[in-house]
Amino acid sequence: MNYKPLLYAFLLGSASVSCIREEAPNAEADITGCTLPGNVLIQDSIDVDVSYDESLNAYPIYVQVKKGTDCSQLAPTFTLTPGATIEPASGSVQDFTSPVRYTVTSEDGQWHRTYSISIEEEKVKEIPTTFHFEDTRTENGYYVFYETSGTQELTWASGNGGFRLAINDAEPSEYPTTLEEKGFSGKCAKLVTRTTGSLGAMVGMPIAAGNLFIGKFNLSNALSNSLKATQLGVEFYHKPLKLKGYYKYTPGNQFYENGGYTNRKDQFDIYAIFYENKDENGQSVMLDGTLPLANFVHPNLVALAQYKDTQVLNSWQPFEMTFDYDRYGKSVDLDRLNAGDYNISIVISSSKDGATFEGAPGSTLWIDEMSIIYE
Amino acid sequence: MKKKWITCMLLAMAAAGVQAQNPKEILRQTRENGWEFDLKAGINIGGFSPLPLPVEIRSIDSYNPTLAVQLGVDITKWIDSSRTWGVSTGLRFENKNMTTRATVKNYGMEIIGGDGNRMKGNWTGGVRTKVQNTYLTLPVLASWKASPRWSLHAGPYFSYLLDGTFSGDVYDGYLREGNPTGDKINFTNGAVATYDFSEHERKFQWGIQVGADWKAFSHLKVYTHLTWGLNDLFEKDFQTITFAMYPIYLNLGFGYTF
Repeated sequence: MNYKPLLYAFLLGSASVSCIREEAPNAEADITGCTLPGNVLIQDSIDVDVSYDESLNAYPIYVQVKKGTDCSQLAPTFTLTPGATIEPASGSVQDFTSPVRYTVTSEDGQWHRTYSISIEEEKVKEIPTTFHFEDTRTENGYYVFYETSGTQELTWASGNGGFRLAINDAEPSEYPTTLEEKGFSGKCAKLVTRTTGSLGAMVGMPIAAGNLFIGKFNLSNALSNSLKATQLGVEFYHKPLKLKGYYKYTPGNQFYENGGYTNRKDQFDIYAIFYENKDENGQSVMLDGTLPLANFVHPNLVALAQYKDTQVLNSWQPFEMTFDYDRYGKSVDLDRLNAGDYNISIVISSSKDGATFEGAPGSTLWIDEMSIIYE
Repeated sequence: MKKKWITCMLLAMAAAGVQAQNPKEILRQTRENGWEFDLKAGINIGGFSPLPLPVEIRSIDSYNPTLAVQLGVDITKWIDSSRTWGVSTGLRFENKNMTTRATVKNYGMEIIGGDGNRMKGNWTGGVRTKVQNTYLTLPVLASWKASPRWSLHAGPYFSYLLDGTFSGDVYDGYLREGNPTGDKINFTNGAVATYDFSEHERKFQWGIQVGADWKAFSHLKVYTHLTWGLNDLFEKDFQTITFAMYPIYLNLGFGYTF
């Protein structure tokens, strides 16, 4: 039953001051969309939902354009938060041989956001295929693993950004995905299932498994749909055969599920996928963390590697997983492979069902010296 | 909890009735001395509202006063010889309730968890609020008998919070973390963040009460009073809700005059 008219009558009767007031000008200052004139874009759309980069002191937007595009004269056009303005102007010609900084000012004039827009000609971006977990940088208070090998580069994604929303004063070592000084060889990655405190419970996400994956963690959807926020995949120009590495695992004592603790034994999870990154209409396809719940059924999947062996506890163990191509009955097209039409992703988690907030706090998975064997 | 208080009240009044010796005679004498006793029962309709409504509140999508009752005794002493002017006081138990859904835009908020973790930023979206408060209230009113049937009252009241709930959730919107240019955190697909600020409600509440009683029969009154709170619902050091909220309630009810 709705008593709204009663309230209005009452408030009106008691005080004429209590009316809904005129809307204030917008305070947000976002680029909500970006396009380039001419048919020069590689992607169907430019990803403008980006995280702040401290080293650039700006929000970085990366754009790839077709080979032969003259990057010294490009005029990107923007859509912005209603009422906001941008400098330099939308549609003005800029020289993108180096990144161009744009500043958006909110409608109320109080708030600014600076974007750094890089536009590059399309090129093959190879990722390294051996991972030592030696190199990290600290972003927003937590470790981010990256791997470089010559010109090859990969930054590992994790759910740490979501954890930070719930536990804001955690040390880098207290995050679910963190660094361990003593690994199998040199340093290693340490993934720990953690409880997320009162705020995590408030949003119905009482635990967070430590995870590492190849792809992007979409922070804006971390609390609404954490599985879809886990975007899996990067272009890979080879046919992967095996995934090898070393792990050490200690499960937590008490398993959390359905609001309470049980005696269930926690397990870690490692899987890798290889998939076609375009659908039949040529639109980009990005698989996400919902894949295990769908039992790894997806029309774009080409191969799957899963850790299925016994989980030996408390000592370093080698692991080797084979990419299963028979499961999907698809062949790998060499031309498409060279054109970058396939994605690979590796997903590692300290609690197999951590994605649905089931797992034992304290479960710890150490990962080191991993490599992709490819054809 | 509330039921318990009301039961106590009823028992206390029943006990008082039993103790009175030859009650009719005592009442007649006290009436002649200018005293008047009323037993009152009614409902409270209203809400806890910021005044004026902050610009961040864009719409009130639903409102329900729920069933909020009050029960109490009034004592009036008519002072002058014509029995026109007097002073009223009394004691009442009362609920002040409401549930609302509102849409806010760029609403500064900070959710502080029980363990001290904070989520701070600017919220755009839905806010559901549920208030259920029980007060013990003492009014001190000047009374004026406008006519044999009508009497008007005005003055301050003082309330003590016996039991309070102030809780709710935010839904269907997004938080800009820290400030309007911070990371955008969506709350969609049924994602909500619940809050409970019951512990931060102020115990002592005061305000102004004005109202009228109408004598329908020699022993039966109909009354309506407006109570307007003048101090914030929340404790002074509570910063999560950036604006003060005041209880504004209309009491409607019946009184039995002894």
